Amino acid sequence: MTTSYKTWVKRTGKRKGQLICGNGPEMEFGAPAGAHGRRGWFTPEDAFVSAVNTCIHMMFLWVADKLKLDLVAYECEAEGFVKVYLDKTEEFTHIVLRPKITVRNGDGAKVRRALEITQKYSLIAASIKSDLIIEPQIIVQGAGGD
Amino acid sequence: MKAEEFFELQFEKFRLRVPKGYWYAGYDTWVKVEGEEGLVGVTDFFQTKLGDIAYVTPVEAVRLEQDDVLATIESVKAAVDITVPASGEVITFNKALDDHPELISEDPYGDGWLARLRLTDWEVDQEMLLSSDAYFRLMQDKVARELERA
Repeated sequence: MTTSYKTWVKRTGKRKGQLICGNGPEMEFGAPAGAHGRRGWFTPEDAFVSAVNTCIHMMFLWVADKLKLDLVAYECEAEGFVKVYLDKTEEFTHIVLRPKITVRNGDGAKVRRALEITQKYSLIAASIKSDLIIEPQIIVQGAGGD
Repeated sequence: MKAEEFFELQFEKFRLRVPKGYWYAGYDTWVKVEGEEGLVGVTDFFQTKLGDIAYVTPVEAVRLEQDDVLATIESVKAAVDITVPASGEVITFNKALDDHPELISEDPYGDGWLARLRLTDWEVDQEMLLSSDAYFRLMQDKVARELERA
């Protein structure tokens, strides 16, 4: 079975463009400040790291529900590390996700299993060649805790 | 499991095994007869299609006829009723699955068994089941259909 997703881009300035996503959102994008762009622009590098972070986020919520985790909170920092080669080509060698996960009346092992399943079923995580490293902080609250 | 003890089909990144000496229902469950008892579970093909398993919920019935629902398996992607390949009285469900449902994926023909039954109509039930080589051919057809759908 195959499916597809589309986006469209159009030049709107010297170092910027307009992005239209197949699901509806539209936004301006440009080069990062360090690559002749400006601060405040949404960049392809932001999009790449965000794609991983948001996909893992959504898949984790799905898996947590399936595993009946009593999820109190989820937040996650993602950081993509870029290597610049001798010929000036670049790649994201690895992306580190640092999710902070709070559950109630659970155990850490179940959260870690949920994260393993999440990584396995995340479309974006499965599609990138960069290594994906998840460094979770898991907080288990007792019964009746906030 | 030694190589001569099972049939195997490689499909994409998966190696799907069908052990010899078990009996199979066309809907991808198996029964391994041990004297008057039968151990039942789901096949490697079935668990692979299902994906990672979140929960197994056995039925409360103690006596089941062939094709009755034995349990519901909920995976990350789907929830399905599992029907029993042979009639019998439930001796026990696999308690280990309560905390470790992933055993079904890791060892579908061993530690991932679903229930142990006291077989009540084996000679009749057996006529509706497939030998390992017959089920292996059926599984090959199912895999071919999956490929056509891809």
